[in-house]
Amino acid sequence: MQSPRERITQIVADLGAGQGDAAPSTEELFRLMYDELRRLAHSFMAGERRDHTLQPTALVHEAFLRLVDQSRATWQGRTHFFAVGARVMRNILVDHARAQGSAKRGGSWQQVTLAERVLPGAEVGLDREQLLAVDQALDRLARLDQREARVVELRYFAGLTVAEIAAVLQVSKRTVEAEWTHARAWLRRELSNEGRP
Amino acid sequence: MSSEQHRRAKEVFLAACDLLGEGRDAFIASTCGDDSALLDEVRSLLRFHDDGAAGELPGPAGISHQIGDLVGPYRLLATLGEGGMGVVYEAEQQEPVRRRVALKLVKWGMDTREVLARFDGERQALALMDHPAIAHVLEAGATEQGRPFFAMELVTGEPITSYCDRRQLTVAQRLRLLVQVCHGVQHAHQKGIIHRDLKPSNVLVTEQDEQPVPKIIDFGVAKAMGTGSAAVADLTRLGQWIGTPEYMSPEQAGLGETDVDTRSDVYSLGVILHELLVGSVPFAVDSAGPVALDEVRRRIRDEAPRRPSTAARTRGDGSWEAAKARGTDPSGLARTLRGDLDWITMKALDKERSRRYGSAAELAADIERHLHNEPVTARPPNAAYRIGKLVRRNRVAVTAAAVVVVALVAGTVAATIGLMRAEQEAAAAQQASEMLIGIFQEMDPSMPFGYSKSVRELLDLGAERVGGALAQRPVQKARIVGTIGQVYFSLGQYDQARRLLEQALSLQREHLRASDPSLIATLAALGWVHSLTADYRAARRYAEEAVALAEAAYGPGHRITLGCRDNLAWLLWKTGSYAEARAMLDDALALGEQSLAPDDPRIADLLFNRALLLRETGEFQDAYQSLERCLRIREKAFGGDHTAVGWALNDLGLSLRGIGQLEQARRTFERAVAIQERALGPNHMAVAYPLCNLGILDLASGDLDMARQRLERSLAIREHALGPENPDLAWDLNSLAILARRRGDVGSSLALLRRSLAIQEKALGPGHPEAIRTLLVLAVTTQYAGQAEEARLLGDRAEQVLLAPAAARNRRTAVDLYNLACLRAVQGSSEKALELLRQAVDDGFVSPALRNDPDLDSLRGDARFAAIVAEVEQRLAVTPS
Repeated sequence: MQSPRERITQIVADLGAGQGDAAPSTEELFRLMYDELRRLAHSFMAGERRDHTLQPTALVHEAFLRLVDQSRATWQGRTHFFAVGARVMRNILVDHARAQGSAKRGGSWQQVTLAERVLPGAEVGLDREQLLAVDQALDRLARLDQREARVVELRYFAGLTVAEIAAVLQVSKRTVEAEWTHARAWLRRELSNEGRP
Repeated sequence: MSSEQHRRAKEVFLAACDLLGEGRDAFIASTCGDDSALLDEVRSLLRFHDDGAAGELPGPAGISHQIGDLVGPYRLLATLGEGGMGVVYEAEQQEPVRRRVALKLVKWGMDTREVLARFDGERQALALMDHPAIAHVLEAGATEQGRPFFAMELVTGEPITSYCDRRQLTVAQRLRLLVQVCHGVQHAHQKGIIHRDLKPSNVLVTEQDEQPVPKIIDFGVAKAMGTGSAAVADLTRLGQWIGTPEYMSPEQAGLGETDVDTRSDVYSLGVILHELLVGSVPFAVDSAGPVALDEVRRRIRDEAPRRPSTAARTRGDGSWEAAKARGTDPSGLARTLRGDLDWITMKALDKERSRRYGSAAELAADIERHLHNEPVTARPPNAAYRIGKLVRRNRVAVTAAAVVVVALVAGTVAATIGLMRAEQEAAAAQQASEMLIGIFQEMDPSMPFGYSKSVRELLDLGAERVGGALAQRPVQKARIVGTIGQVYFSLGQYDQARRLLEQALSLQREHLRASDPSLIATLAALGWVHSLTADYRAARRYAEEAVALAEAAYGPGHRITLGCRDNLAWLLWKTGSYAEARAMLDDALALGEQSLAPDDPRIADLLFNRALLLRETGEFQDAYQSLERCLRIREKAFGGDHTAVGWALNDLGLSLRGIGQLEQARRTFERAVAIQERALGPNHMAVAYPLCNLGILDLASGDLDMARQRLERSLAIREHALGPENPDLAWDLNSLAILARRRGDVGSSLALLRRSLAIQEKALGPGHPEAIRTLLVLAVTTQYAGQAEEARLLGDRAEQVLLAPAAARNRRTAVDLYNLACLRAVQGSSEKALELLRQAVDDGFVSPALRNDPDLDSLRGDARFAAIVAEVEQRLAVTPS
């Protein structure tokens, strides 16, 4: 029986080498990472580091170091890890935001800083409402254009570069940049007051 | 909103992103058409897009950066313009140095890191670039918000196309400007940098010291931005273009990810060239929709562009505008572009990059070849083309004598090809003339025909090769050997010329018909060669045969026949058969006026020789008029700086001197010297003639130092050019002798004269008028040397010829009588001297020499002498100078 760490390393290595079935592997990876990342996030949020904002990217990075045998990690493997990590973090943060909302008191919100500023002029960190708004907007976008939404997710929550996103999604860098250009405008509109129909 | 709508809106949005202003609005309107939902969607997206970089607040004016903002160390001063990639500002760098720069803030592209990384890759090479035509990229960086920017050397100028149009530069001027651009591009290529996005808005022209200076901007930027070489497949899918696609090479516009190399830049230069020549790009983008863009892509890849000369004529209204901007009219423009420029442009625009110019330098070189009237490599080689270039290029450098020869050469080869009946022979003739042309081409084209060791070596080589290569084709060999001989002749290599021409003649007699123009040309050339080496008897034989053959083959009024006659007439003049020469020339002129155009250079040649004869009989006024007309014709045909004009001026000066208009004569000689020096170099024999004449004038006016300078130089030139036995040396020798005598160096004077006389008697015969003149001067000098007896004998000899009952008596002979009078005066026979002087003056002698000629000192007390002097002075005063 493999330890979670061993299993994760194996999946990551397989994904990175282009072997193994992508979908089941990522699902499994998701499950395995979720617990770990949630633990990490919670320890961060519960800790004394209130003045610092929570950076999903950083957390995923830390998880990567803990969960994957670095001697067997490749660039491609790391990219896949982070890609899954993006989804995981998004889930965790949204869950947390929702949970926060339902509680009348206690448990203040830890500011979240995404890999890139979402709204121009806004504070670096997102508050609860903002995070939820982003999540919902992303959902809407995904219904219209799944790939475009994925690009945004990978960018915001995992901080992947154009090349890395292109590798994950198996498209060209130019495509990624184009998707991003459109998505940015679209999101800004969605998230601003003017965009409201 | 459905997925489909979302996707469609995305396409249109992305395509519209990089258009600006009206273009964008028009594009959106035309693409969306009736679909107002789509229109709204796109518009609103664009509103949220235009606001600069990722993650920034949309400012009130929609521009995220304001004038006065600091971007890194650069303070924004003014907006210079907007392009596909972003906004360009004029900025001032604050530190480490203060200077003005152009700052390009990139509009889109989320991955600043990637952009910077790509730029970094070229940063080293970019830093090494140093060329006046390239604007430096100073640095690349990112704003706080993560937007990439490029700081570049500030270039204030306008796109090369609009500059040229505004200044109405001619085609040649535009070409020269583009050559500079090519050199800049070449420099970058050598450093490993390909521009990838060359277009007029990236080639700005500024003015320095009123000269246009091109500067190419955005080197390195295109690559960093990932334009050009990126996978265009996705571009097509989204229909997104970065700026204008018209300048993109076929490989850039293709589907696959081909490697872009330097030839891609060459293609773009070809598009710019096309635009500069014609006023439009080869493939225009009429409407900017995604469908149309696909169309443009296909056209770039598949469709052949129209030739510039065709495009110039068929653009409707645009044709006139374009032509005007180039200082001409549509058909004039088409004419200028037809030929070389068509070929060059087409080669640069070839779809197949292996067929294009391999580098920007090659393109520049071909353009320069065209500008210098040399054959361009873009054209398929063709003998007629190259001959045409050769003649055009060397017109300035051809001597008067060689004008006939070269015209015959060019005419010969062309005529030869034309007369060919058998195809085989035609091909061989082609080969032969190409070989010759090849030889010419290796010559330094800027060097006038003159002395050149390397050219001689080439000719020698050619002569050798011909022997071997055409051994099986005697007809062709015969022709080509003759042509090479004529080339030697034009170069002044008379010995070699004679050798080859004689060889050619025997071959030609054997293998060619008597009427063959090659044969006639060879005969004519041999006539010249022999006359230049003073073998006048042989020369005359050749010249006479040439006339006979030409007349038989072409008829008496044909240019070629007239040319041969002209040659013969000159020879007759040279050998003293003045009457015969005169008759022949008058005849030839009459025929020429009938059958040739009045400004045909052949007529000028006839007039020239006629003037020579008229001078012999002292008819200076008539000679003057002939020469005036000759001069006008030659000036018109060859331009004012041509050597043929120089020759005419020299003789004009002699006529003026004969009339007594010394000041004007002097100016004419000076002009002639200047022209010949410029056209043929300072050591060509053509310089010696007017130079010597100037020296003689100096002598007559008493400026002995100047006279010596000039005469020594002209002697040196003639000796070197014509050899030590040529009778033309007599003029220098005699004048130098007179000079020496004036200085009191009688010994040198005698030596010079004896040498002169010996040459003349040998070459021209003892009774020749020129020899007699020398004889007289020798006699006088001998007298001075104290050898009275010798002097008396010499004088008697001369007197016998001059006073013979059948002797000609005119202004020219009057000078001889004058000289004889001087002799008698010195010898003490004053009565005889006065008698002769009287006769001379009666015959028309007029010269200020009379005033102070020391030879006549013994007469100065005599009243009769005084009367004669007074008469001459009167004549001199009346004649306007």
